Amino acid sequence: MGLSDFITLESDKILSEFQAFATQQLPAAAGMDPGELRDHGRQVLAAIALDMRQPQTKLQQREKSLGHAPRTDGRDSSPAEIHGELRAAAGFNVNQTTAEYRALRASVIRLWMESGPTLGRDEVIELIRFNEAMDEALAASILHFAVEAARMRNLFLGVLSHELRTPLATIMASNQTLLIAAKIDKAMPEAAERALRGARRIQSLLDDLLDYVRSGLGEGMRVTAAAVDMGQVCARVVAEVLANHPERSIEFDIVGDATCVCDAQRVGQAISNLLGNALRHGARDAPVVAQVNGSKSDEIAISVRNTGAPIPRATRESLFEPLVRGSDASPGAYNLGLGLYVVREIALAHGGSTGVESEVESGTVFTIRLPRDASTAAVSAFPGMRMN
Amino acid sequence: MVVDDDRDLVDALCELIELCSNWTTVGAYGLADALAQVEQTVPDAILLDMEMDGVDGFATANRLESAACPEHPALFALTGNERLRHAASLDVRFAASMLKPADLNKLLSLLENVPIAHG
Repeated sequence: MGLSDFITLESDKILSEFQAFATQQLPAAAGMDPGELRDHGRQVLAAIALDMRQPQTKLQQREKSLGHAPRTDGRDSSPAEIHGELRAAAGFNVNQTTAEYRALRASVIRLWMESGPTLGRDEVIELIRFNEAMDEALAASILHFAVEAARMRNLFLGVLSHELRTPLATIMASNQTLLIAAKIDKAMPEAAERALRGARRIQSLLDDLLDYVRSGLGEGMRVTAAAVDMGQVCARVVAEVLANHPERSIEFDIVGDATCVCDAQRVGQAISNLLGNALRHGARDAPVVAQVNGSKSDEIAISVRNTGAPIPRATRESLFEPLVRGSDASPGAYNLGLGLYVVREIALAHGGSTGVESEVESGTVFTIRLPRDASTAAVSAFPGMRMN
Repeated sequence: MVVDDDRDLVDALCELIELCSNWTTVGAYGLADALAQVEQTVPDAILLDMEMDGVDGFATANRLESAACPEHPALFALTGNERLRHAASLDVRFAASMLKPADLNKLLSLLENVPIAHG
């Protein structure tokens, strides 16, 4: 049987093999819907089989090798182009994106050879056509991947700059106020406090940014676990955050046994991010409620609750991801979300998890669940490279 | 009126403007707060953050203008986004626009040229 007919007839078998291979090869594919992975494979394969059946002159072959081939499917975007864009938006890196094509090519050729084709001149030509079509799809996919990745990076930098500029503006305005006040011998302690809060906000953004970039480089987050009283850790963080926001109130309580084994500094950072988040987005006239719950024997849960408008269900899924994916709204339309991303990474690095619930009556609750003893937790398996 | 969802920035700008000029300022911590205040008293000038909690700055400006109607406060845009700062549409829609952090002298000279309706 010819190769293009084989691809069409045996596509289910090829796709099963591709799916198994891709899931094994791609760490990020493990977190991807298998149906989605298979679906993309099917579309790319169908476009390739179609391309192989088109008659091709020597000139057309040469043009294709130079990347000037005309579209044969009449669509605006080929499956390979869409594939590249989707992979960039999903936070894949370039290796992972090309690996799918390697998997597809390997699956097709292995299964075809196993079917025992007579390898005459026509079959060799078909094999060449197949490889040309694969190369073209791969090139199209990578090009669109690069464009999309650059767009995401620009968006990221735009939002980062916006988030740094607001506290910077506060610091500058407050310091100008202090300078003028000093000349007229007027004390304005509130302006000094505001400037300090602004500087701390920039510091915490940069800390989160550093963790995010490290995670993107695949270094992982190192956790140094030791026996601690989570009640004390949380009480210390609450006191620190309150010192920065003297006008707000945070209620704090401990349920059950709060002793555990974890990285107190990291978990403290996560709690601090959650409290900062709750103070920024929650209703200002109601207290933020923090709780350490050690009533289960094998886990310790830390939750932070604020009242205020609930978070829409659709947005909740992407809260822990930096930037909302695939949106082309203006940078001001969303937060960078590095704070929550870091919270999740800290939980994962401990072998734990994060969750969020948001209802009108009960408010918004973020919860970090950690194993009671995280001393065996490995370095976090970072889900993918987000900076591309 | 200074409108931003960052309270510290609102307070800092209000304090600074009052210290450096004869303007009386009010702060609004977000769109809802700004609308409520404009319905009570229309300010002569509004310094508006273009990026408040997911609300588009142009839409915010429209809502503030309809709330202020029939009066027309001078609208100044304040943005943390460099690309938006260079967008032509911003200068058409607003009396002037500034990138955060706003230059104090520029801000004061803009305010000096605002016609005062309420005295």
